[in-house]
Amino acid sequence: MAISEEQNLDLEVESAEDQSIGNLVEQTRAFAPMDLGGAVHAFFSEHAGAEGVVILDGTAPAGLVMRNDFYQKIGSLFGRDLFINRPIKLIMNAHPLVVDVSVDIATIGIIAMNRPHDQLYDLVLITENEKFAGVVSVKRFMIDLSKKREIQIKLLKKQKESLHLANEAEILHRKQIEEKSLELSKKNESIKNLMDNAGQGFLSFGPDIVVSGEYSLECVQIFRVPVGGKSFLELMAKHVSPDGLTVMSQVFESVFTSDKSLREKVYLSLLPTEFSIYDKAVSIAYKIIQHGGRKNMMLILTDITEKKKLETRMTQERNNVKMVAKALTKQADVNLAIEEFRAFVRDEAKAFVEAASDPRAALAEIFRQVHTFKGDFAQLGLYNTAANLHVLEDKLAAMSARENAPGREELAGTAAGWDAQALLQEDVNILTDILGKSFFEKDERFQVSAETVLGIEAQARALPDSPEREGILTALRGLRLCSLKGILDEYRDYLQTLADRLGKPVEPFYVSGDDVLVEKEAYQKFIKSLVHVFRNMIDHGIETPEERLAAGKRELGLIQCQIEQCGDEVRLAVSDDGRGIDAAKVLRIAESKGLLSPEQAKNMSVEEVYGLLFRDSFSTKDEVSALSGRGVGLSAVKAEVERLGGAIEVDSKPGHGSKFKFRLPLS
Amino acid sequence: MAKILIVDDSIVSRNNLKNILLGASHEVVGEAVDGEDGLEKYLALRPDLVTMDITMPKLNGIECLKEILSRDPQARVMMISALGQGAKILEAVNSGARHYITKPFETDKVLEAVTELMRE
Repeated sequence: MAISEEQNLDLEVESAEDQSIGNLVEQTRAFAPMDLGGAVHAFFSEHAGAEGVVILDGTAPAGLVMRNDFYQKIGSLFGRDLFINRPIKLIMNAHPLVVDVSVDIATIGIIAMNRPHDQLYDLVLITENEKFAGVVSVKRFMIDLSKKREIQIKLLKKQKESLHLANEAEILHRKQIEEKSLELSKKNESIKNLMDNAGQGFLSFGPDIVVSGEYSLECVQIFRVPVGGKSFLELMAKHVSPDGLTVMSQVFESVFTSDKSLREKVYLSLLPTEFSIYDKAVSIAYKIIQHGGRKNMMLILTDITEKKKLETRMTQERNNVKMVAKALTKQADVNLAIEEFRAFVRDEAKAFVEAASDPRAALAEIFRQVHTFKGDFAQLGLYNTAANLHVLEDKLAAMSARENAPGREELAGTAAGWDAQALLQEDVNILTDILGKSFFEKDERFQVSAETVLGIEAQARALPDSPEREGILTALRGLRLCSLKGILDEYRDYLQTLADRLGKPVEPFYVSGDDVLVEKEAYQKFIKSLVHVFRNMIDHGIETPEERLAAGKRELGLIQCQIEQCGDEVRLAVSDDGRGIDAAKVLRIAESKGLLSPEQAKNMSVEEVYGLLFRDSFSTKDEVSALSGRGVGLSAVKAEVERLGGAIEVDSKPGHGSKFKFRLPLS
Repeated sequence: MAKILIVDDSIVSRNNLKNILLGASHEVVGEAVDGEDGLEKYLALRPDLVTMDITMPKLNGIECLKEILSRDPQARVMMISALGQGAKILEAVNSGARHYITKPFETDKVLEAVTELMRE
């Protein structure tokens, strides 16, 4: 767009916006309320362009007569007679729209346009200082508005065009920047490669401790200033304590003045090697270089921030593993400690303050409590909480070291400000993440899958070897393992009941031998299946008390369990002192079930015959027995034993009893 | 195979050090329990090397060091310190101690220090 057009537009815009109604106000003919209709009619006839006339009462607006309205009324039946010779005030609109000249055009427009249909195009009366000043024609008003719109639209179009141009320029710029960026990053890559492979900052100085002009760029990255020409001690002053700085300065001096290499070495070993410089962790190695007759000290600075972060993360992870593993095996302790701590923060701390005769004593007591809790949590592995409590401890220590002891109110205020939840939050989150929320619910047994426990065990095994690690591993194993003896003991009552029900009372079931620990999950099913063996013994093995007495045995039957650990195998022997297994009967039943031919039956050894008992669907259920006669029993046992990778053997002596011998691998 | 005098108020430390030194066929010619005792024994035994604990009753390690050096400027004295006694070690070295080792003792470090010192 040419400049002059632009300027014109701007001017137009200005003047359009400049227009207050002042500029739109026109003058009209005014009449008095008592003037006759005829006079108005005469005026309208002579002035064909007049839209309407105003009726004034002195200088105040009294009404409005629009041409159309006037002739409509006059033209009606009898209208002429009625109105021509009577005061105009009878026809006039006594409530025209009147606004002060200060009201802006837009507002007037809105009000005017919201008038009833028949008044929409009526003139608007304008007053200034309460005195009638003129009228604004709606028609002219609308035209004016439209003109303004047109200008605005032109302006918008112009702006849009400039924006478009600007946008295109922007896009072009962006492309150029991107290209340059790419170039730069390629260059950077190669430089970075070089520097990364050097990876270290080098600088050197002589006895004056002023860094020489040749140093590597990494130093600038570390110290953020060009280091050449600066005193090394000054550079380090911001990052080392005054004492540390003194030591360094003394050592440097000694090194430069000493003449024996061993001394130099000893002095150098006294210099600190790890520093925190701004946001980086830096390790520094010191070397002595002889330059002709001059001694120089060269420093090799390495940014180990990442390495330290990694170390911190690893330590954190190790601590988390320890925490989870400990919590797993000490759920009750952890929950108790948390509860007690919460109660302390909530109630007891305050109570101490109120009850104590001397605020100092209360402070000491609270300090002791916090200290104890800190120790407890540390012991339980909740290291974040312990750390938070350490901070609290420091604050309390600072308080009690003050000259003027804190008063009761201050103490109470401090204690009230403690948030137990916040102090525990980090550790609670970690435990919840891995062990689930149920860990913290006291009344429910906390459930965790064997998989989770194995996972935690694996992580714990990855911890560095230490007595602590061994303790954790043992406790975790304890979760997974259980005592075989313990499990078998649990059957005692069941067997008593069963025996009684079957009319074959027995002595209390007796488990003896080694207390072997076995994998709970793996052995669960096997142990359950042992029930079949017991039932079998009671049902088929043990005789009735009468039979027993007749056979010279004790009235009550005896069922025993013996456990032996042999290497990585556990041997379990379950025996009864009943009538033993009738091999002939077993053979008969097997034959009748078609499990073997008479030929095979003849050639079977005793052990093989017993083995038949474990065949699927074999059951001497032909003997009356609702309890054990499902034909599945012993084969289930065999299946479980084989699943565990073990073996069964059966021994029997007719008249004396039978023995089931199990051999099971331990891991 | 150096003749060594051990000066330390802790019997546990003396035994530890003695075991390390004897294990490398050095000879422990004497043991002293404080700075005074140490000075006496040094003058009497004239060992090749002295190990000197820094914190001791009566005469402390640094003072004893100075006393010995004033009588025998060539004395080989190795300071023994706990962790974090950097400033004290610096003072000792500045006063003439030739080397130092820190507790808890690491066998190789101890023996290396002795060897280096004896080479001088």
